[in-house]
Amino acid sequence: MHLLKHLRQLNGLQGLRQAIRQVSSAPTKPSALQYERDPQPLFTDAETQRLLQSMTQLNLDRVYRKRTVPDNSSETKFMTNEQLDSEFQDMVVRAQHMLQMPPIVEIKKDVQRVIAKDPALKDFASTKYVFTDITFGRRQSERKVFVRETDGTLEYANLDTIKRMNQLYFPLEGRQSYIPRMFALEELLSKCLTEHKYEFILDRLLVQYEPHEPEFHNISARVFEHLNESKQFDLLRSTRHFGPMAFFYAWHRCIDDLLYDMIRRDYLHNAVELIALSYKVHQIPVEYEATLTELDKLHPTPSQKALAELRSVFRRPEDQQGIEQEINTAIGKTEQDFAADEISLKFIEQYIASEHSLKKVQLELAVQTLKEVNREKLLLFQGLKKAHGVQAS
Amino acid sequence: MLPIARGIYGGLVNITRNSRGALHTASAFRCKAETSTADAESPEADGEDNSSSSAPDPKDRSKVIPVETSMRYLKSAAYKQTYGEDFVWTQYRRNHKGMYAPRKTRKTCIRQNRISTGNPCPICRDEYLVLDYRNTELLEQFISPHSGDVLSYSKTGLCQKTHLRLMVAVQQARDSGYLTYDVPFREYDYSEYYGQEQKQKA
Amino acid sequence: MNQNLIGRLFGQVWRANILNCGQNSFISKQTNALNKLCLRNTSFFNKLPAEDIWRGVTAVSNAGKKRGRGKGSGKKVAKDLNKGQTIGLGKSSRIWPGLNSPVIRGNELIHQKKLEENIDIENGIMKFRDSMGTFRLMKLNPIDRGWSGSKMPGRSIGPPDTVGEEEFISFDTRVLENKIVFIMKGNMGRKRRYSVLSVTGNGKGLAGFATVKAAEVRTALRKSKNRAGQKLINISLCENRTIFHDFRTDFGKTQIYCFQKPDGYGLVCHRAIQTICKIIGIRDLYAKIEGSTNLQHIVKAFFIGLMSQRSYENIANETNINIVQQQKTRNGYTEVKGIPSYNSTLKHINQVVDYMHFTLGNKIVLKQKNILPFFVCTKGHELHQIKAERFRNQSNVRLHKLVNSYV
Repeated sequence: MHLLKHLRQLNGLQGLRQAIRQVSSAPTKPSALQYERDPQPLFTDAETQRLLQSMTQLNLDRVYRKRTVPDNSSETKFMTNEQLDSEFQDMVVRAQHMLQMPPIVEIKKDVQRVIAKDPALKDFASTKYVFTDITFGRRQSERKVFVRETDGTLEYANLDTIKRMNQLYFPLEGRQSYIPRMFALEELLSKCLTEHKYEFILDRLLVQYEPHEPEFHNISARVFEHLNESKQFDLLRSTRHFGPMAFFYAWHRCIDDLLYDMIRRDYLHNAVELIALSYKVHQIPVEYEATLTELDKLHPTPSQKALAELRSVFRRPEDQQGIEQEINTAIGKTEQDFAADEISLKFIEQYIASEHSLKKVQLELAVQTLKEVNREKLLLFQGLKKAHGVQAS
Repeated sequence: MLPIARGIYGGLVNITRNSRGALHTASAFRCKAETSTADAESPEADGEDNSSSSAPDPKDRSKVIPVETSMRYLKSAAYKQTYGEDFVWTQYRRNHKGMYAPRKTRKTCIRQNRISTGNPCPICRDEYLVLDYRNTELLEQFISPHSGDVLSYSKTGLCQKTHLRLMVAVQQARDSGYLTYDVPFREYDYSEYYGQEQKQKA
Repeated sequence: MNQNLIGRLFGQVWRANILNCGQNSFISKQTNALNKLCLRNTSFFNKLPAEDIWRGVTAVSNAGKKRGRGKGSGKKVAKDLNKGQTIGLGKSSRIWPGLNSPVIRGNELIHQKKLEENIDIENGIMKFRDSMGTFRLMKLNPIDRGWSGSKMPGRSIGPPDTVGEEEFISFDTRVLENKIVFIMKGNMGRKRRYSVLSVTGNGKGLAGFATVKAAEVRTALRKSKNRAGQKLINISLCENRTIFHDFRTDFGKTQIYCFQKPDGYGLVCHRAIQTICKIIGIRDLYAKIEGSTNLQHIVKAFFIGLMSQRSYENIANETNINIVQQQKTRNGYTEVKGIPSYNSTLKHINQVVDYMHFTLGNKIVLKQKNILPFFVCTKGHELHQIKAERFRNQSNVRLHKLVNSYV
């Protein structure tokens, strides 16, 4: 192991002092909603992950949105159909990777672990000595950092020091050595929130803080709470933050606004999943798995849907299937969708009727309007099919 | 406030073609920007201005303009008339000898609170353009939409001192969340947070 | 040995003296004789008026003018300070007999005398000077400058004149070439005319160019502008900002390689091509000229190249392969640009050609070796680099410090 002695003049460095000052002014005031027990096992559960991913959806235009890059050139290529198809598959895989959800773990407590107390070394130096293991390829969480205090105690470094040392030797791109003013000052953060820069705040939060830090929990909770009030859920759809957000609402029993938004936008499938998630989180004895499996048969997963959308360029316009497709695109729904809607509506109504929903009137109204629109669409759909002579299967 | 200047520039506007002449009226309108907040811009008000005040030195930059005024100026009709839809630097041209401009721009346009040059840079020539991290509307004009970087002084023509102030203001604005930028993607190694057994499960 | 040396030195000096004496006396005698022979009492100095003498000093000869010498002289001065002044009247007012008053008035001889101060005269002069106004050269707005100062090439001459009902709205014309040409005429000999090449367009894909000769510059400009307006060509633009694909084009010995570029790249090409692109509405392009840079040929070759562009769909149909574009701004998002219409019936071509090779017609741009500056391999440069290494991060640190000190 390669041990490197690192000397820090804690009192002498101005930048550090500034950082300390900013720490004290950081909005460490805990938000109203906290994870009271470890949310990690529930969050990492395979079924929860699947539900969250499905709710996030996969809009390729949103995932591959225009970003600022140093070189914005583009490359034009010839591609055979096989190459193009594999490229499409690759694109979907990469998109899924870009939607990787940040981990949700409980706040790590700082514990003092003393290795040795050597009173003989007292006042040996006027500064602390920090020893960092900088072996190449070691995980950040496994990296050993020790501190020799001025009074001669040798102990494990606290979390803050470990993070700073890691950043010093293995800098993470975009992470600041000090606390960004946006997170340090309360009024700046609330200004960003009122301007609906949710994605920016959360992106920055991920880079700046580790998931087990209290600031991470506080700020993300604040953002989600504000989002619940402003109801701009669509801003986070198809980003990596949608899953944690839905999980947060489900955990804290405030899914109704999100549910309302989903019904209004005709994402009934997602609404069912959200309700199922909340049942799962709170272990409410309602049978939801049957409905989910039924729906899954009728609905493609987001990645399948995205791939199908990409592959639609191969479609030839003069086919018989083309007319059916055309009808589908004109209405925006297929036969399967109508069937799925029926199942999900039943499930949602059941939820609204139960004691778990808080905004019953609002939700009922939304469901009613949706039902009417759906009925009209169904009529139109059947009429069109008949007119075109497409066999109803 | 600037009777002579206004007279000359008024004539210039008529002579030179459309918006090009209007650029030179920057200083004339600058004075208006302040009054415009109090009352509507009307020719009578201008006339009163002319008679009441003696002409101040147009090159004087000792007065500190607050950022709020600058932010209001950027939204005002006076600004619109001066620059139109363009950025503040689009119509600026450097004066130089020969075919190629020197690599660097001049060190500073303002010395001892006075403009010390005949062709001050786009920010220095209009004293109501204040570089500050709160003045996002102005800062955005100097940021490339493609690379997200601050545009080079060889393109904008800013003097070195102002360019440094611009860089500082942009970074401060980003730090405090006034300007958004694309944060680099952070990839998570789940096993670091969930432990080994979770990794095998997934 | 010493004696010997001194003796030799003396000998040399003595001999030189003798020689010099002889020469001097001879010359002085001759000049004396010449002076006596021609004594001139008149010269150009008292024959010519002052204006002519000044011109002789400051002006340039005819031959020199042709070569472009002395452009600065002969221009109007800012203010003529001689105007309004009279001889004999100065700051202190005095009577100078013979200068500003007669020598004898009646029987009296007038003496030099000081009068009381008179400020009126001086004030009058100052007022007169103020009334002259400042004379300034007509200066061109920096935006309107051409390629080279106030010369015509690169400058705008407005939209073509209306023909009947047809108005050229939102058109702009720019001069590309303005030169003198000669032809021989039977009875007139060398006949001189002005040739003007200009390009007109509306910035949205309509453009035309024309070369016109006329006896006068102004007529040539007007005629070329109007004729260019009659020869408009429609050029379709990719995303309203660039060309559809890279292409190679030639005219005579001029070859141009043009490359499609991403948004915000700008025009990196010959100034004539830059001007044409601005007129057409192309905003992003890189072009490299190989061979002759004859301006007429460049313009023609570029227009031919623009007209022979093909759409993505056409290329896809021709090669029977899909065309895709991967953008780095969108993290490598693959956008399908063209798909062959009759698909999969034909088995694909064995080797998939490179897209750029295809569009450039299997030609390759001449890549010249990048020559490093002369100082790179020198000792001094190495030393400089070693010295400068310590400060390589200084500007960043400075910026960082400034950023963290908020006002």
